[in-house]
Amino acid sequence: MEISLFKSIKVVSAERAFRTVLEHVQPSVRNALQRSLFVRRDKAVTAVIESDYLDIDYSSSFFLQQGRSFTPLSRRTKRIHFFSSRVSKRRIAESSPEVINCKSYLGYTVVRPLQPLTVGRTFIRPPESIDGYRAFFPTQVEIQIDLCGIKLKVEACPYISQDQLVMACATASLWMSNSSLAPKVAGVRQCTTSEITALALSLGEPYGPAVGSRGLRLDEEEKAFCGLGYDPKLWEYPEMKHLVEVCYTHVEGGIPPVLNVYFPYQEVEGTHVEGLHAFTVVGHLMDIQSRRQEPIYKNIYGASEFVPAFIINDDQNGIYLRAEVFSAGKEQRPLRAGLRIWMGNKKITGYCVGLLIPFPPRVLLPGTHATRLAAYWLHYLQSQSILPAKPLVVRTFLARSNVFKESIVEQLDVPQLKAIYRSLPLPRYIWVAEYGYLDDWCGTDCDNLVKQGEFIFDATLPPAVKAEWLTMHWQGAILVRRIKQERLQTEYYPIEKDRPCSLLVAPVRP
Amino acid sequence: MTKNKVDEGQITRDLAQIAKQVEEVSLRPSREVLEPLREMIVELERGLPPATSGEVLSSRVRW
Repeated sequence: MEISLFKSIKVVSAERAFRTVLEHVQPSVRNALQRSLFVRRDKAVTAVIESDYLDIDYSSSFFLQQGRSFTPLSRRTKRIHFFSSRVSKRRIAESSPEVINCKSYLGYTVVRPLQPLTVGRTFIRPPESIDGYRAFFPTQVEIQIDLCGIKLKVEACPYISQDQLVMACATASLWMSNSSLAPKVAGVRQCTTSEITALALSLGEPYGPAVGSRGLRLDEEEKAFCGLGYDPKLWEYPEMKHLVEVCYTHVEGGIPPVLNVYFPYQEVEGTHVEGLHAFTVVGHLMDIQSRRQEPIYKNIYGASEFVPAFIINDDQNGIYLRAEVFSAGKEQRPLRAGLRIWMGNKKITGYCVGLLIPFPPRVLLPGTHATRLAAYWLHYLQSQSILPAKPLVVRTFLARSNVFKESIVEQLDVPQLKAIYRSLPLPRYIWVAEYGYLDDWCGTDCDNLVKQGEFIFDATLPPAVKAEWLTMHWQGAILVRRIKQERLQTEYYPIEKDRPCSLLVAPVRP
Repeated sequence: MTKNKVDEGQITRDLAQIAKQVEEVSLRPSREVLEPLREMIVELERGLPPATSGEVLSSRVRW
C-alpha cells in the first residue's frame, strides 16, 4: 500500500539509469559521470530516479527562456540519486535505517528536459583516486538532500553543464566555484546561473537568451564575483610553475579557481575543436614519489612540487577530469602555460589566458605571497642557525581562524601549543604555512607527511614587501604577536614535549 | 635536575633574543634584510602578472 504512494520515484540499477535517462546526454559529460561513479572503490549500484523534480537552477532559467514560449515545454527535471549499495523502493517507503543517514549515498545529478539533454546541478562524491593517482578535493562541500523526507548527506564538488540557452561556460564555472564556497563563507550568497549572468552584466531585469548564451568577458566574470560578495583577483598569462602553485595553494584553502583558456585548432576523435573556454579547478592529485626541481627560494620548495595534475570540473567535457599543466613553447607567447585535459583516453590541449580567484570578503593577501613570507622567514631562521639548513617544503592554505582552532583541538597532540593557539585572537581569515623536511616527504605515503612547524599570516593584509607574520612555530618554540593598544607585541614560549605531527586537514562542512 | 634547569633558562634566553631579532626585522627592516623577500615577489609578479596590466581585461572576447 505505502509503496504505491511513491509514484514519482523509480529504483533501477545504476547501469540502467545510464542506459535510459542519461543515454542522450552529451557523450563526454555522460562518460565522465560514468567514470566518476563506476571507476572507484565504492561503485554505484543503485539509482533512484525522481521523475518530477523542480530544480531551482533550471526553474530560474526556464522562466527567462523556455517558459516564455508559446509551445508548452516542461519545467520538470529528473533527479537521479546514486547509491553504492542496494536500495529498494520498499526501504525508501518505510524510511528504513539502511537508507536514513546512508553512508553509501554517492550524490545526485539533475537532467534537464531540453534537447539535447543537458546535466543540471550535480553533486557526486569524488573518487579517491583518478587515473591511478591519489586525489584530494579540499574544495568539496557538504550538502544535505531530502529524498521523500529522508535526509541524506554528501561531500562533493558542485558540477553543472551549460544549457546553451541562458548561460555559457564562464557562468557555469562561476556557479561551480560559488556553490562550493558560498555555504562556507559568511557574506556571500548561493545563487542560480541566471542570477550570476545578471550580476555579470549588471542587469536589473530579466534578459533574453541572446545575452546569456553569448558568454562573459573576463571583466564581467570579475564583476559577477564582486556582485556575489567576493574580493576577486585576476591574473593573466601565468607561467607554468606559478599556475601550478597558485592553483594548488588556493585549492588547498578550499577556493576553486576559474581558469580561462584558449584551445587552438585541434582534432579530438574526429571532431574539430577550437576556441575559448572556462572551467573550475576543484582538486589536485599528489605524487610524493616524483617531484619537479624548482625551489621558491634557495632550498625552500612549495608542496605544489608534488602535484602532477589538477582535477577540474568542465561544463562541456565533464566532471572530475585530470588536467596536466605544462610549459608552453615560445611560439605560443604571450601564452606561457598549457593544460592537457584528459577525458578517459582522449585529450584536449589548451593554454591559460586568465586565472580568476574568488577570495572571501576582506581576504587581500594571495596565497602565493603568504608562501613567500613563509619562505622568507624560514630562510631567515636558517641563516641565523635557528633551524637546520636542510631543504624544506612549505604547504600553504587559507583557513577561517575558528576552523583552524577547531582543527588544532581535534588533530594536534601538543597540549601547550594547542592552548597558545586557542588563546590567540586572530583575524577571520588566516594563511597557514606548514613546513616539513623535503627528505622526510620524498617517497612517503601521502597520509604520513609530517610537519615540523607552521607560520600564520594575516590574510586581510594587502600584499607588500613587508615581513609580516602572526605566529611562528618551530620544534620547541613559538613566537606569537598579540595586539595591545593597537600595536603588535611579540611574545615567546618554549614548547615542552613538542614533536612533528601530521598536516592539518580542515573540515569541509559549512 | 640542576642541569635541566640551566638548559631551560638558556633556551628561554635564546628565545628572547630570537624574538627580539624577529621583531626588529618585521618592524624596522633594512633594505638588505628584506632583499630575499623583494627578490621572491619580483619573480612571482613576473611569472604571475596581475591582470591590471590590461591586455586580458581590455580584450572583447567572451568565455
